[in-house]
Amino acid sequence: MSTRLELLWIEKYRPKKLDDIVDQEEVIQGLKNLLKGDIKEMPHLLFAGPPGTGKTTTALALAREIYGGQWRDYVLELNASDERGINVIRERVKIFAQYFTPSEKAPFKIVILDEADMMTSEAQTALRRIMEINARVTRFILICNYITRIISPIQSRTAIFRFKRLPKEGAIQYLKMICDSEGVECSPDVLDKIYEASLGDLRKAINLLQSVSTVTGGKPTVKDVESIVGKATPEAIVKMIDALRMGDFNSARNLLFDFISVSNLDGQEVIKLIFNELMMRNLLQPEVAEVLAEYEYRILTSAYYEIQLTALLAKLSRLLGSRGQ
Amino acid sequence: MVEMVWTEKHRPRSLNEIIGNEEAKLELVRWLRNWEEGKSDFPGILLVGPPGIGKTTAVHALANDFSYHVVELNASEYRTAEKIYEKLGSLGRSYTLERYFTGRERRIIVFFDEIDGIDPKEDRGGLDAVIEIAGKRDFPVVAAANVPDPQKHKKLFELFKVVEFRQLTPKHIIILLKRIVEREGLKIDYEIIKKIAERARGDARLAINMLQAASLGIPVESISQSLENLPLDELLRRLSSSLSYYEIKQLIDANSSLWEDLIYTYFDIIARSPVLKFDAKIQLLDALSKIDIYLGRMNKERQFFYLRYLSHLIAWLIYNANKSGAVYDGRIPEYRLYKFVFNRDAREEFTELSEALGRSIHESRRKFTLYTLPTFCKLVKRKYSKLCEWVKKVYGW
Repeated sequence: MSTRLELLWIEKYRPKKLDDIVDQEEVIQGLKNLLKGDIKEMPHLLFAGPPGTGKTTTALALAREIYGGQWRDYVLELNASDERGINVIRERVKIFAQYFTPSEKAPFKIVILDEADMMTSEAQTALRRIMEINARVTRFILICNYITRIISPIQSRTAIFRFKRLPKEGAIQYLKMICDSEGVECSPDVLDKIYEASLGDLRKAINLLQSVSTVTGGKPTVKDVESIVGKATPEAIVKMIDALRMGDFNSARNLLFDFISVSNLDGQEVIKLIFNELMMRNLLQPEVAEVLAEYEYRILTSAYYEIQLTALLAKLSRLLGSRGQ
Repeated sequence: MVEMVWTEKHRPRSLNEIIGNEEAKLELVRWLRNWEEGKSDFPGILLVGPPGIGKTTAVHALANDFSYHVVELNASEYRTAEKIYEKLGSLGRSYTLERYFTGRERRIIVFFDEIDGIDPKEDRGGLDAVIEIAGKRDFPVVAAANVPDPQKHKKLFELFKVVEFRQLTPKHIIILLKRIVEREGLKIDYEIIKKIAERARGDARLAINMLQAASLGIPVESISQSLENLPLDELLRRLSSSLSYYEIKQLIDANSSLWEDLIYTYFDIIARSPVLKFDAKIQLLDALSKIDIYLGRMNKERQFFYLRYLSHLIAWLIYNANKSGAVYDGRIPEYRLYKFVFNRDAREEFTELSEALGRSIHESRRKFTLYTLPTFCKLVKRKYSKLCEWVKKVYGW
């Protein structure tokens, strides 16, 4: 499966060794020191930092360093945002840890739990128990964007590694390496533009580079980058905002329902998409931002986020619509 | 002065005043006489029958007619054997003292109301205590139940004399209501009395409550219990056709099992209404959004006190929607279509594929859908064409 998906550059050029990770010297040095000592003593780890800075990649590379080529046998990857409920996690971790005898080569198994900050605090409390119960044969690597969303009992049981937003130089160097290897002709301007648009998120940058290279047959210009960045938002959302600016609430609502019924994204993500698109179009006036914030907050305790999103659209239609007229 | 509830104000004081259930009343009297002479085969009596037809009233009236005092042990208060004995013990003492000082004998009937509310498992010994107290024959013991369970209350059935109270006929209720109308000096149309009698389903308490409401000018239609558990469509029609805030609230309270459907349907009605002014629409949607939050909190935290407030908020919402002209037009609410039918195949396939693809490159479905899918779809042509078709349709990528 992995070979086919290597047509995605983010996967094809994912660093395999800790040494190849871009620009996270402190983290890498810390992990290497850890590997030099008695590996049996390795604590649970918590990787925190902005998206696209190499957290998952580092976790996978670390697993390779410990287990070598057979690493997949010893690693369970879970996504807190996909795996529904703590019970699923408990079950899978239990089964995963059950049939395992620690050896010199593999003193423990590793569970990589991505997007751990998407879990509710109740689920995290349960997770803490799971971590304790299975500590003898299993180490957890928790990955999150916001460390403040991880409950402190978990924080205190893990060694925390903070990933920094990627500085420009390192990111551009990496993009250049990919260009050379793929035969893409990219001027420094184009790479600058890509970096700028991705805000230090290397996943975004590489995806952008690949998209623009594919579309232009390997010779992207700054203009091409701009036009593709402009299309980053799902068209349904773009059209929805167009409709809102015309004060056409009904069309906006139909587009919204069409979009969520297929994409299956939840309310908070839809609001994030709306936010990004409004920001890109310079429509994010203070009162608009306030309404978005209010409704994202409401969604947290709502029963049906469709109601919240619709109420939000009505408000936005008033705010944006009057501006357009 | 506080307006007195008529069911209390006009509660019969003597068995003669109680309308209907003649046979049962006779049985009661016969049994008490036998009991007093120590001739009764039964240590106690069990009154069985639906609510609101005079079981409790009959016990109090019986006591009144024969100069007894009723010690009522409401099963919902005193449940365990210990609690029952505690209460009876202290009473026994105080009556002994009273007799000592006044020389007057005060006779007691012990009345266990709502005995089917005693749970044999949770309220251990409660039922046994009732039987034991009756068995001592210190006092006449009466128990009453709406729905006795042949298994749970087996011993009671065996030992006690069972007296059945039946629903009142509309004729009985009319007599009852007319008497109250007369006493209150009201002018209420006979047609209304007839209507109440028909809708009360043989329940005197309900009938009297309806009469009191009618005397305040509230239409009988909106207070009848027959409005409970309406089909959603019927409920929506009634809500749209009426009504005062009070009537709406009544309807909503009587159909609490349909609240979620109501909220969703009104969400749909309001959002799609062609007649609502846009400002009103914004306002009503905002009200809905708040209702939804309380509903969410209630479900999440299992805090059911929110129900109290929800009923008011929903009534307010519907009342205002009605006033602004957003009413149910018989269309199936769109949310149902959207949730269950719209794009379902697409959604399932889309979700499954993006989850699998995401996993294979160490990304969650969410991340893959949001950040990597656009690139992915520019690259592949054939293998995942179905996925990309949907992506193109909805995402426009």
